[in-house]
Amino acid sequence: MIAVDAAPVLELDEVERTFVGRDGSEVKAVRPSRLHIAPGEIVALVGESGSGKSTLAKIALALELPDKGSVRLEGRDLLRLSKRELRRRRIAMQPVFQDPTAAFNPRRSIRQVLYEAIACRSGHTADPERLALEILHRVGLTPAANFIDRYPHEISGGQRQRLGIARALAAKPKIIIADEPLSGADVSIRGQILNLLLDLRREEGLSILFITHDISIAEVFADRVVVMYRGMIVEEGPASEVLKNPAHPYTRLLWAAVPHIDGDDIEAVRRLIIARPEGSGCPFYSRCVSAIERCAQEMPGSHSLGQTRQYRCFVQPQNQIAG
Amino acid sequence: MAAVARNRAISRLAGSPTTWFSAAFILALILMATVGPYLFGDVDPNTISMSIMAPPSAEFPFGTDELGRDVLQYIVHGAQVSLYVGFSAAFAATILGGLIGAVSGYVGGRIDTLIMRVTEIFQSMPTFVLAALIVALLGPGNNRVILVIALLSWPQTARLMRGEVLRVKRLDFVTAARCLGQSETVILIKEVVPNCLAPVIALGTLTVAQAILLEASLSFFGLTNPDTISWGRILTSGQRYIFQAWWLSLFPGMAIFLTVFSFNVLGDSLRQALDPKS
Repeated sequence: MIAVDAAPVLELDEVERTFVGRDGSEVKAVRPSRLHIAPGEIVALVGESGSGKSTLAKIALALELPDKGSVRLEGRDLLRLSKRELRRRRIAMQPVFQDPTAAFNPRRSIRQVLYEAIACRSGHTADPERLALEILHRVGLTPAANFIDRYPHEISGGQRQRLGIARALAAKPKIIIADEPLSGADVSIRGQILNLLLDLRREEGLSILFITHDISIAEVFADRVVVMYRGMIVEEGPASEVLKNPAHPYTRLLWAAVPHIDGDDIEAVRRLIIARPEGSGCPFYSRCVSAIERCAQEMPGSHSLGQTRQYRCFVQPQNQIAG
Repeated sequence: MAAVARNRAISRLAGSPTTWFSAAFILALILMATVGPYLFGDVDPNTISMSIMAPPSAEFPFGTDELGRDVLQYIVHGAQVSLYVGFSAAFAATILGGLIGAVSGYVGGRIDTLIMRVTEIFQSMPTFVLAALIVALLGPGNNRVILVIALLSWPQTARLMRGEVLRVKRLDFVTAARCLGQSETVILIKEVVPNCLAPVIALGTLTVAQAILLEASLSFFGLTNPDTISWGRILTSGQRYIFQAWWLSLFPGMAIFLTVFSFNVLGDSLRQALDPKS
């Protein structure tokens, strides 16, 4: 299903972004990072709040400009396109938002929302109404005819999140970038929305970049997981392998924090919370149980683990303190 | 929000008797200004009668002035000027302030800082003194008065509009429109501005009241065209005879007071009714 050899839909290379505060203080929101997403691939970008995952998503959507690096969509560097060309090309990637309430103009009916997105498709659409009804049906807002003339605020939160996906689909994208799309939904709706996204990937070959703080979702849902900490991608690889056997201490910490933990894990979390003074080296140093002296001064390089996995840590996985 | 919120806004507006009174008064005033003069058989309000400074009576309900002119007729005709100046000035100020504020808030950066400093300069000047000065320099005339009032009132609207735009432009539906390839101008006009209008309209109503008051003040000091009948001008002649003919001051004074009061109440209620957080 995942055509690893196919040219990536979205390629972020060596992108970095530093925010400078009014007092001149700097926050490295994204340290030089590389993120490639293949056609039909689901990538989970995992990290705690402030890890830079949302900034990376905004850079991917060309909503935020990186200080350095390139963002290529279907092989074209978005940062080098003219404004007009960027507006035309970016339609191939569509966002799904965390808060579906703020995601819709309160003055537009569902029909207007979908027509607007359909109008952005390349080529002429003869019958926008039929297409809009099809899309509503596709995301499970049925009977579609009952929904099309309502307003987004008149439907439930879970339905609104489906509508958010419907709007994204209406633009006929190659990739959907969803920033915490489940955090506003309750548990039963989360499952439905994840299933919907999986169906869309299977049937339409959509790529999905899924941003979440919940690593357990990545386990069930994603092909590949990318773990971020303080702007640095600390580990990435196939979801099943990374989560079965994390190579980076931070991934272990995240995995241990998932509420399936037993006594030993709780102890591990407790140990990991003990903070150390911050160094100029690895951003995770202050919280890492496996840290060695070198971690405080030097930035760890990227190491390969097998063919598909990468992690950034001086300590080899087998020598790390078990979590 | 659109349809439902609008209905909710109307029902909330209808709740308060003061609001009802204000709306009814303003409607009556508009009627009076448009068809009122014809109720008097379209006679010239400057017609002089033999009853000089007659107190209110059946023939002259609001009395007559020092030349025997009917005060009621004067007030009816004066309503035209007050409303014309009030509405036009408020309309111009709202459009001007709305445009400037929207651009300022949406573009941001240095342009925003510059525009905000300009509004602060305008807002720190004493409005009436400046209006009086400009009218004195340019000469009287309704349209000049409108221009002056509009030029002095737009900063308030601009600041409000800017604040609303700053709030709305960060919402996700604006990002969604951007990701659909809309241009920034289209986004500002179609997505942002329509969601900023409610408080701006409410402020526009308050601006009508301010404009009417400013026009009356300018007339009172004789700074408007002496040939136009206006409430402020009746007050000017009234203050000379305040001890002999109280009706010359009371009725136009009440007209100004009730009009300004009604517009203020209506503006306030509109603001509350349109505020989704209330």
